[in-house]
Amino acid sequence: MERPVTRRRFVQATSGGLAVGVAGCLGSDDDDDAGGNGDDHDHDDHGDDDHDHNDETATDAPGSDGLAYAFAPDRIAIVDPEAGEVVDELTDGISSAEWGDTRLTRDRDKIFAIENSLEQVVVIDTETRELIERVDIGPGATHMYHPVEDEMWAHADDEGAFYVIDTDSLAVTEIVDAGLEGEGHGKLLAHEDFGTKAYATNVNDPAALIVDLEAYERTGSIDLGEEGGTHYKAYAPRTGLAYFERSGGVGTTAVVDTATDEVVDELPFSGGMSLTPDEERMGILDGDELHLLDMTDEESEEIGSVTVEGGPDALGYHEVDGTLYGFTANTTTPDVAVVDVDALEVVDRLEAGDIERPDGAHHLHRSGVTGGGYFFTPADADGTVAIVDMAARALVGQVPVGEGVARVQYVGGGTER
Amino acid sequence: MPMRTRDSSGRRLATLAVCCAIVVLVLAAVAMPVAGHAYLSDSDPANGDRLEALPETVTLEFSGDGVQVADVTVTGPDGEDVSGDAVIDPDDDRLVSVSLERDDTDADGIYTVDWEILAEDGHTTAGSFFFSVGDEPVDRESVLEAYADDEDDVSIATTAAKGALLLAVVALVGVPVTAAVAVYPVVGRFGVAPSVVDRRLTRVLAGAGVVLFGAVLALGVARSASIGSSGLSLEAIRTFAATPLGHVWLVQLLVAALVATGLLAGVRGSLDRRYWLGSSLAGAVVVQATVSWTSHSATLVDRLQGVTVDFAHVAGAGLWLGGLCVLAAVLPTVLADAEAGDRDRLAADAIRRYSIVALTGVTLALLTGLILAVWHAPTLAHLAETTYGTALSAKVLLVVAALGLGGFTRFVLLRRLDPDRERSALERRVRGRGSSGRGSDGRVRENGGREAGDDPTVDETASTTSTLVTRVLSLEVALLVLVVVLSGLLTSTPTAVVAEQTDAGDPVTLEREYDDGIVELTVGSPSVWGEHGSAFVDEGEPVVFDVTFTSASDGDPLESDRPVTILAHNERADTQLQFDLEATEEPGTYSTVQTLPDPLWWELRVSGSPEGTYVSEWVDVYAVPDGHEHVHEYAPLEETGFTHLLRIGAIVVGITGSLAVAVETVRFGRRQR
Repeated sequence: MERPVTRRRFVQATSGGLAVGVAGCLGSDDDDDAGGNGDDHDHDDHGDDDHDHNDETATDAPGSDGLAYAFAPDRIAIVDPEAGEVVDELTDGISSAEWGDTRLTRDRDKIFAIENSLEQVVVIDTETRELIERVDIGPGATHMYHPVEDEMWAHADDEGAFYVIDTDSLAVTEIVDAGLEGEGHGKLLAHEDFGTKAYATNVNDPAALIVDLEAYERTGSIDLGEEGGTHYKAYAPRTGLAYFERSGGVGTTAVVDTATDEVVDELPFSGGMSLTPDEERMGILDGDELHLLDMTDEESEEIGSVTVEGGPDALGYHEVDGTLYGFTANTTTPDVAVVDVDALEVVDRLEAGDIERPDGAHHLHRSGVTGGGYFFTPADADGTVAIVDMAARALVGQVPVGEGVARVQYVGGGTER
Repeated sequence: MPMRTRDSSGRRLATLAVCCAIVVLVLAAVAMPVAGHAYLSDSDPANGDRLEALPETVTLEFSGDGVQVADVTVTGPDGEDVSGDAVIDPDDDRLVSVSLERDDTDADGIYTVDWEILAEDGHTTAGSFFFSVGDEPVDRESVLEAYADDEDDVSIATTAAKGALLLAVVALVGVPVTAAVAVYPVVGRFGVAPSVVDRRLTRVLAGAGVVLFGAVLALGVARSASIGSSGLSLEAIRTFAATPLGHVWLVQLLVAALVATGLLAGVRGSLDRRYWLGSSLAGAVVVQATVSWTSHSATLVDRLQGVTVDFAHVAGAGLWLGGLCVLAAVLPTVLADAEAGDRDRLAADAIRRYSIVALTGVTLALLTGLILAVWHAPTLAHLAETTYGTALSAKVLLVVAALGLGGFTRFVLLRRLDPDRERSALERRVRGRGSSGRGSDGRVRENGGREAGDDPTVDETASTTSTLVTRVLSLEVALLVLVVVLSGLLTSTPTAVVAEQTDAGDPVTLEREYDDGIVELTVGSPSVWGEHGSAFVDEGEPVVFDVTFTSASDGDPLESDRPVTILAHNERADTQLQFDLEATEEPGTYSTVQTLPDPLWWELRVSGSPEGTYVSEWVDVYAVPDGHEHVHEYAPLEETGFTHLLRIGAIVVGITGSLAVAVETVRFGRRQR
């Protein structure tokens, strides 16, 4: 299929292949993150922030630069990954918190964190390390995105709507109804290649929803089938293809040409998606299987796969001496698996602490983020955050934070999409 | 040949197709469903439903992913877990059901459903909702009618019981102290048999003990009736007894029963004086301490300070009024039994001793009374505009009148008589009451007059004065009894500070401004009142919540583009509920009728989108626990010019009273030497 790629290539060339996609999840993620995090559920998208170009951006967040914020129910611990210890904490007004996604503003001045016990987004000033605001949003929020410079988009699952928060005024300025049925867990995929367009997913809608980021409204949808819904999403800048997990038991991944908004392919597996830093490959975690796809190929050819035992979740990448390594936070084993992505083999396992595993649970989730050359993964049962030096492929330490710690936000070098 | 070739190709293709189909089927069968989250999309009963009867099962339906693990708890109106194990439907893992177990036939009330599930994708979500069970649905209009009709009336039964309880405590505190300080020592010195005192005193105290028991019992019954949905019943009493206030009541009842029993034994002479005097005082102290523990002051201001001041206030009143009761009931009998030549000195001795007790009591009562006024009625407006203030003002006037009468008696009437005249007046009064032949010198008639031959002018003046003294003393006692009864009313009504904004029962409107508008939450219930920007309602009582959006510029009502909701959060009970409000006939007004199922503070978040502007504002509502009356958490006091004046007055009273007690004690000591 012929597609105009000139503009896309130009953008890619000038931006140096920046990380893409909005999607929360782990580590490498996100359009938003200057500092390392994506949504830790959602390891769909793009690259790592310990990407080379991250170092070029001067940090002017001296208060927290290079540190990681670990979110526990009664405490936010500020961790120095190099030292492997807690250097500060926030406790005032934090009690029985239920943390959702965290996002760092592009200037790294503020961290926005969903706090669901009171259906709010908490704002932290990284300079002063203080909680400066609580912004009321809609109910059931899990994921949050930073698709444009001065806005955070928090998805209220109970309403299927995004609450748009102005990062300067710290107030909700718009509410964007995205779900076709008005409710449902959802995510947002945005990239500068799309212009003012973004795609939203919803577990109730077997469609990719098209959202106008300037008009603050859903302008259309792309039918992906009759059953199920959509959940994880990713974007490959090299090909202009977007990937949408077909959820609700469908088990496939729909491939959409973002230039025409047409479905062009369907992959026979699905799961969390994570683009490599060079955007040339993408890993999809389908159960214990890590599928590696060629993201320069318009056919999304599968390069290969490797079995990573332990229920891998949250995939992050780091290149050392020309070899790309992947790091997965595992859910059924208390460790981080180190995968040689080039050779597609598991080369090491590092102790990372345990998560809560309710009786009868057969599929769990564990978050993990990258930043500053480290891979962070919280172990809520142990109350610790494991810090892995990705270059050395070694555990720095398991830092005690507090039982129930579930989210980590790195503040550091990193650029946006 | 070509045909056979085509046939072979066809079979190969068919075989390939079948294999592919088998592979696809196998893959589909083993593929893990991977998607995102499961969250509650529907339930039966639904959030806020009102049911006629308790259902056997609660069903939760989740959207998104299936459920791996489910934990559902249903809590009944009395805080009990009435749920069985949560069961995931084997045929549809998005359906979770939990059976309800309840023994009582009466299942009316609010049921809270707390759920937490682990979805197929490993994500955990949690939430809660509620439903209620009752005979008839409660709608906005019926609740509005209820509080429109209700006056802010105080329970007469409660007030009467509290008044009687206070009177009994006053007597049981003051009589033993005065008897021990002012009567028995004097009786002993002048050779009067203590049994004379015992006989009178035991009857007085036994009566007070019986009144104490009856008042405590009546108070518990009145409170039980107020919390029972259908008035007084055994169930209501059990429910009340299970509350913290009920526990206090049980202690009071037990102590009062012991006191009454001991005093009745004292009447029969089967208990030593030490025991019935001691038990009277000790029992009264315990009962009053428990009353003070739940007083306005203890719950509104500060527990320790409030208990101390409240207790000291009643103790002071006890010393004053209780002592007067002893003088009135016991002293004439003692005097009648004394030698004629000793009566004057006996009376004078007793009165001087009592004066010290009375001064101490008056000082204590006035000092603490002024402090209580600072706390509960800090402005003149409070005194004038509330039931509490009116009662307090009346009480103050009566106290002033009683003090005036006491002073009049002590410094005017008795001084009209020279010392001899004074003693003779007392003697005549005593002889007039006592039977003839008891040491009478025959010169005093039964009506208090003298036999002919004495100075008629002196005799008539002394007779008139002594009669006046008697009447004034009686009036003083009567006024003080009224004061105590008024105190019962004061403890039954909201304090003036509490009733500052509205009388209980009038809707309370809490207002918040946003960009270019105003959002108002109006809270309406039969018992609601407002204080310091918060609303107070009774736990579990239906409450009307009205939300109104208006323009700040022109006051026009604003319609909400999105659902108007209230998120109610109780941190202590770890309860969170969400209410959806419905539009009413009034433009810009949205309403719901709900109950707050847990006690103490609720943070309510009102959200809506008037004219497209997202608004979310917080207000505080306090749910008074069952069985409690107007329990408040500490609120900062207003300091006004009036409170400064009261504080100065308290200091002056304290210093003056202390000096007076000291002077009186020194003078008494000199006389004894």
